[in-house]
Amino acid sequence: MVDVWTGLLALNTLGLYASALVSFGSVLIGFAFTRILRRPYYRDLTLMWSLLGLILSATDIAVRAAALTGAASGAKDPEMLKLVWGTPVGDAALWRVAGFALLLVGALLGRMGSWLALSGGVLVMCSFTLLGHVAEQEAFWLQLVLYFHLSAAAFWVGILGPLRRLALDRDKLDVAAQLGHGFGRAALFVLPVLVAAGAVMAWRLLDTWAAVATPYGLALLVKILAVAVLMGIGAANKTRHVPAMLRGEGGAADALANVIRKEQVVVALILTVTAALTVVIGAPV
Amino acid sequence: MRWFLYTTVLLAWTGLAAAHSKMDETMPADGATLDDAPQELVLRFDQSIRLVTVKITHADEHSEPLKLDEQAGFGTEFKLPMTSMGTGRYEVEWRGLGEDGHIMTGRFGFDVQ
Repeated sequence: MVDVWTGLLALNTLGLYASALVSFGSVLIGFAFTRILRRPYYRDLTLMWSLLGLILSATDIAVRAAALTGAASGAKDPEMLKLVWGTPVGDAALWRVAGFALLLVGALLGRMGSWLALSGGVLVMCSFTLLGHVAEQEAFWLQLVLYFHLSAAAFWVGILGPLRRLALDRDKLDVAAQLGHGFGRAALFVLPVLVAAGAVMAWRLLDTWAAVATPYGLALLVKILAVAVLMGIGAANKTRHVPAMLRGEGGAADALANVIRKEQVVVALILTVTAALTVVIGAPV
Repeated sequence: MRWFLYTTVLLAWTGLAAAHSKMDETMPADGATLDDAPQELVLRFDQSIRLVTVKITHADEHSEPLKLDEQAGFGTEFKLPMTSMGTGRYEVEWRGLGEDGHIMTGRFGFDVQ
């Protein structure tokens, strides 16, 4: 059985992933579709998830200190906190806190703060390249690959909330159709980056075919399958639901909103497996 | 559907409890049977770690932490003095921090006849 503190750390990591992808993703989508998407449709997502990210960045250190002693008292033990802070976890936390704070302030400032929020998102993405199995490889190019993988994932995750919100708004169906169409075109460039970067990292971390049979390899397979399902759903949106909305067909927007809800569930599954890969399961090399 | 997916992942998760335990070797070895209780425990790791807690439990009854005062830094080998608690099963549980920030946990056990 997984130790309760390791489980809590994985849950905290899951929350951090979601906070990073949604807050940065919403800003990316705002930049990419600035002529279609109005700020109120994504600003609250940036605010809420960056605030959650700030909180989880702090609890991450506390939960690690508790996990170190196996007791809740470890979370407020100065020696344990200092010990955790002295590792790359502390460096990553600094980048992350600065990044989430910039995202939060940028979103609060409105249009003026757009670039501030964008730079904050870049810092948050960078923080994830400072620790974990990729960082252990000590190869800068691989950290860069992870950065692009995460940014592409943020772009994908970032569209889901605003697009669903628009699809459910009877007065904004034309905007939803345009946004869905625009994302479908952007995805032709973003998805290859996501998949290629993921494939490079999987190849580097697994190293041999035999490693596919290890717990890490099997969990990675589950993640790849889930991403394939997500891509299938995305393809259906692009070829079926969005064109139907552009034609003004009744019920198409509701169908799209339902499918996006399913996509959000699959994203949650992917992030859960990723958190397990990072915290619970050791890389085979 | 959502709860089905989550349950599947969590069930798989509990079966995959590798938890970054990269212990190379212990003395006594895990599962060993000895005539006398050892005077010290040796824990060897394949990566440098900072050992934070080591708890030894005898016969599922008596449990006590081992002193780590002299193990303040990171290292790959730790020799910890222990006192005999008689015959029976000894379970050792340890926790440490890898230099990369990973939390490491593990356990091993041996019997004294």
